Amino acid sequence: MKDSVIEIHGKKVLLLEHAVEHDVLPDPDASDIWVINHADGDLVRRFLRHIIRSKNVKIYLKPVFLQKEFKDLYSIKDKHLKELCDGYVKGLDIIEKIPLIEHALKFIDKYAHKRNFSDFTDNNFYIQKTFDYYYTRKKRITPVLNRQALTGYSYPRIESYFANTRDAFVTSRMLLQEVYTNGWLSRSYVDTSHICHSCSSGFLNYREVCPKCSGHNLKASTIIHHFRCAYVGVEKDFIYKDKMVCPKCSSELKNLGVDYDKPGKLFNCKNKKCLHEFQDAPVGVHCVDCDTEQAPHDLVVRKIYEYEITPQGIQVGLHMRYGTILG
Amino acid sequence: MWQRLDWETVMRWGWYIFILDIPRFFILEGITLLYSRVKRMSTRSSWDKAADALWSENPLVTVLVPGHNEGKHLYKLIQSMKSQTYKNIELIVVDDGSTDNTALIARSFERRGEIDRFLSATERGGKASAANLGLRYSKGTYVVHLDADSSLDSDAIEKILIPFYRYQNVGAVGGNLMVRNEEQSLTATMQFLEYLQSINVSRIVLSQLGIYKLISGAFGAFPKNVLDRVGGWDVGPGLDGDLTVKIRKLNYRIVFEEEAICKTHVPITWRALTKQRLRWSRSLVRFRIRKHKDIWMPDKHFNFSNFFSFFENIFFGLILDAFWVYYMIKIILVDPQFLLIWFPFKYSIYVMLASGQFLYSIAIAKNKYQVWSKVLYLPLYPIYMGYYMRIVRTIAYIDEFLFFDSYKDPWNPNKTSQKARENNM
Repeated sequence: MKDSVIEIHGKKVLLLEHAVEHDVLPDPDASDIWVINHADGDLVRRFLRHIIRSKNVKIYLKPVFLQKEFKDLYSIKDKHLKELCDGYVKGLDIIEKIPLIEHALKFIDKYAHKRNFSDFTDNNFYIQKTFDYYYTRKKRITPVLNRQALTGYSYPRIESYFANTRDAFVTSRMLLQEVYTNGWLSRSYVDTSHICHSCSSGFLNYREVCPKCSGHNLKASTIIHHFRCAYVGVEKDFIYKDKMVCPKCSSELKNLGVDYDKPGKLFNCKNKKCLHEFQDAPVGVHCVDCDTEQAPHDLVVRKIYEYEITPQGIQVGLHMRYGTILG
Repeated sequence: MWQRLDWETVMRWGWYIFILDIPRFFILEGITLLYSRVKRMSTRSSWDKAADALWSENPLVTVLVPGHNEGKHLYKLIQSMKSQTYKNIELIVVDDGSTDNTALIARSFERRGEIDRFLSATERGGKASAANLGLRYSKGTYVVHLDADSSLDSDAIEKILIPFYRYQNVGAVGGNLMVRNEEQSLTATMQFLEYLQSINVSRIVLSQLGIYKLISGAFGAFPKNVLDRVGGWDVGPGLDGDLTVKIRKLNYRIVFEEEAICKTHVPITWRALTKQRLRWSRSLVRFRIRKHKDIWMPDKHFNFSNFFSFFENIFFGLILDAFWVYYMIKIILVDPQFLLIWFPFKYSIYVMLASGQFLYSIAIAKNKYQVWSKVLYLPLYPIYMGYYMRIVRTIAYIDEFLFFDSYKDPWNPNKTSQKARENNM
């Protein structure tokens, strides 16, 4: 079975179902734009990544749309599918997308014959592809919050170039940094994140730990100071039936701030071999991905930026001078 | 003119010198001091045995140091603890809502194991609450209460513990205090002389007579179970004397240990000293007359030595001051001319009395040279003790009697003072 081409507003629109199902890329010359016509988010993602990874400029720059009708189904599995293509259309109404489509198609016409990546390094190929895409789409390279991403933030399109999440994180950040340093991208600050010093994961569990045995099964108690008789002890010293009664002077504690206050906290380590009592509980960080235990000051601090191609970047990008400049 | 100083006139205006001051501060002190010395020497073997008992039991001793903004003294304190002959010590430092970097300093010492336990209250609650927090977490059989700026002789902890093994039923032992910054100012030098007399000598005597009733917060030792029994410290100022009285009331013996020496830092300006003494003197009214008024009641709990210790305190502290004021005014009104002879005469007698007491101090001093070096200040001593201190004391008594000023002293946070006042604590 073949996917069908229909014509809308003078554009040849290929509705992709079979291709998505079997993960085969159709002939890019047979249609102007592609619209995904499949409900399974996982298969769609696989297919979109296939497009993005293509070495053929006619494919990776092809205007690709999702259909709003499937949006709810996709969002169960992946909220970021639209980052991997040109967004949603509703009822195959592409009228608003025409300028974008034309701009992309014109670009492909003009530059397709110049895009021969045979003598490119991998990295230069990735950069060229990125510039081609974000230039034709007039978009910024925007990070999105994504719990599937290693650090919690991802640049979905760029990270799709890579097969595993670690490469995706390390190489994509390296490339962006390098290109920014060369002045081809400008950046603006979005967020700061703390990530595991061993695996760069952002999925971390923070909890107070015992300074002696590093155990984290702790009991926290509040210290109470009874003004009238100057007795100071933990909360449980004062509990008498359902009231708070001072163990020293037997009078009832009624009003916080008038009869008593809470000048501090105390922790008990519940580790039977330790049982340490202490006030200053350091925070321990446990990496959910690689199981590494670390202190907050061991975490790697990363700033997250949004990038935009600079005029200089546009010049260099159009004329494919990465090879000579980056070496 | 001098012929006017016949015996009868002298007695009329100055009977208290010959009836009270000289017998109390020279004769009684001399005899008791001598007796105590002889007794101590003749019972040397019992003291040695007590020391052996201490060493063979080797109990854990908590050194409890509560304080507000005392971080700067901690290094010296730790050094002084390390040099102690007695080693089984648990050092607990309690920070009473310090506003400086005390917590930071103390935490770093705690991490290095030089302070066994640092407890911090982020809200200031007063010295009593800080001491009680430390008490709540101390594990020692005995608790030694120390001010952060005190420095101990290397055998002080050992010495202050021995009386618990020398006598039965000891509820508290007071350490001996010496002024350590006596060269800093005239104020400090005068306090050096005062401490020699009113602490070093006088407390030996009071302890010997069984009426010793004030263990200074600067350095005192208590069995942990006794502190628990009395509920630790109550709201101050004057909490150290109050604690001693509470322990006395349970019929424990209170002992002064002259050989356990703590060097303390005293105020160096008259202003600071006046503030300190106003505070100390107000607590005489607050605690001895108001809070512990039951000591005066001849009921079934009546205890003669407690009564007598209060009586001595009130009589020599308060009643004689009232007499002094009365005679001052009377002589000015009745015979101001006479003052010209009377004053030098009386002053000379007091210089002589001070010199006599000074000799006692020399007799018991470890470092006799240090004491001798201050002999030239003796002529000032009657002004210091007889006039300055009396005036400060009298003001303190009046304002505490009339205005309850001790409850307004910023030395203690208002929230607790207010509650203490409401509950007559």
